[in-house]
Amino acid sequence: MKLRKRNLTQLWSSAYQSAFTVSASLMLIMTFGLTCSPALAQNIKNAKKIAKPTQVAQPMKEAQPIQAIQTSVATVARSTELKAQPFSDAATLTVLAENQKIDVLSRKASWMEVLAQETQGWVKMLSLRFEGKVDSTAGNGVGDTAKSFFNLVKGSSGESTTTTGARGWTKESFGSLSPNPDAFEKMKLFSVMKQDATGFAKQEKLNEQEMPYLKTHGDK
Amino acid sequence: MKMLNNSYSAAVTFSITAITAVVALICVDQAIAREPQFKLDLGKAFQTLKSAKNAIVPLTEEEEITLGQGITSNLMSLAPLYEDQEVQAYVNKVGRWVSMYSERPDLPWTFAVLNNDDVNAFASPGGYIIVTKGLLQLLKSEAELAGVLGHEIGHVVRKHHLNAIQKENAASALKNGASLLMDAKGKSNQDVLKYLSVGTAIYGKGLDKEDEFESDRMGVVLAARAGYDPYGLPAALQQLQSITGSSAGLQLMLETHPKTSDRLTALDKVMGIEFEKFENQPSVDLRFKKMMLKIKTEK
Repeated sequence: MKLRKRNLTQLWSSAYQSAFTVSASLMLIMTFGLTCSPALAQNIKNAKKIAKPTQVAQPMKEAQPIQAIQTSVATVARSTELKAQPFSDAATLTVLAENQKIDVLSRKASWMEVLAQETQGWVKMLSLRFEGKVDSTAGNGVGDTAKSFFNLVKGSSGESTTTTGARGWTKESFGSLSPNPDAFEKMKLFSVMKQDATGFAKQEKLNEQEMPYLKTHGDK
Repeated sequence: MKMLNNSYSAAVTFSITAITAVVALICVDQAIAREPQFKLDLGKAFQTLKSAKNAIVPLTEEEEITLGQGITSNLMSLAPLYEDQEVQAYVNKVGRWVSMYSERPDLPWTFAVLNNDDVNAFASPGGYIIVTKGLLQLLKSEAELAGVLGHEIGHVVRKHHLNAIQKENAASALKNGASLLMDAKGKSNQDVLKYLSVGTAIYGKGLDKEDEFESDRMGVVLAARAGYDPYGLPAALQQLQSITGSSAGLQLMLETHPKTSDRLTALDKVMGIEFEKFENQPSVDLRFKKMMLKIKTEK
């Protein structure tokens, strides 16, 4: 009973979070679309459709919450079947062609929920690639907006103001590092015992599985 | 007369050995004086000195840990530790749990979050693993964190950095035209300390691509064994793809790893139907998001 109550609270807070994320994304998408490109009107329409499944899915499922990921444009890396459900034996809705662009809505284990030319369904996540480069061609708009949203979130955290000017680490950062024994001593104290890790894992029903390492061509 | 000659040459050999040993001892002593936080087993160093035949002498686990501690201490100068102890404890619990399913569950596995916006992670010999706050902010679930830590644990288990450091050290010794005597000295594991500067520099250069691919394959398996959704690592790689080109703080990580699309293609080839039985394993995103909320709200 206690457990249930806690889960419920967690669910509520996550529902709030996702509601916030969705509305924030929508606002951003709209601003971006209105100011930058009329071609984005289609993407806004898509984003609205997207908002529904994620909002409904989150509070419904408990043990296996569908992960809301930022809506982004992916490219089909190899021709793949669009399934009605996230299982291999689910009905095939259509076959997606290599290089086709699609909108990604969410992930469930090895499956991505996507929107491919108005058809919603599931594809194997590893058949998709995400374009990183800023591409000005039409159709990439939502991805760009998601990216600027990401940057905005990062920029708004108090911490990054100190590092905004810095370009980040480079090869040279490692050339002349001197020991920091004080920090290392602190780090050593973070280490946890096996039984603590086990208790922590059991809280989320993480159970030991058997699985050999993966072999690949050329392995010893 | 012959006997006398023999004993004479034996005495010479003995004294040369003794001198070499003393020289080595002095070097070790000086090194220890410079780096007071390291303890070295001199007896062991001598033993290795005596038995050294190859250019690269395998380190004992103890020496591997000592080297890893030295490297980690150096890496700690990159950025301050993230100050929230709860976040540190959280990452340690996830990492410790995953490490228990590796072949080296009893290393002193320790994890730390550095307060930096770069997206990166470093694994040092002996089981010391550093991740950045920037990396945590890229992730969306505990399964993704488990996959990333599994990748780093793979580096430690297969001694990727240790081997790279020893190779690099042997190569540079050869390039400098080291004499036989110096070579003999180079073979001794007093070089645990000499490896340190080479060791830290490796993290700016990166490993062989094959090591990275191997760690990817191990990361997904370790996450699966620990009961997590094994697709966390590929999901993290896809998220990395989608921010590449628009976010600072990825440069070093991308330079020191194979192309992200190649890593995904490699995983696509090996993650077959045998992973279907893990399809319903939890990704644990609520617990993860709760912890990340702390990072976003705290300064």
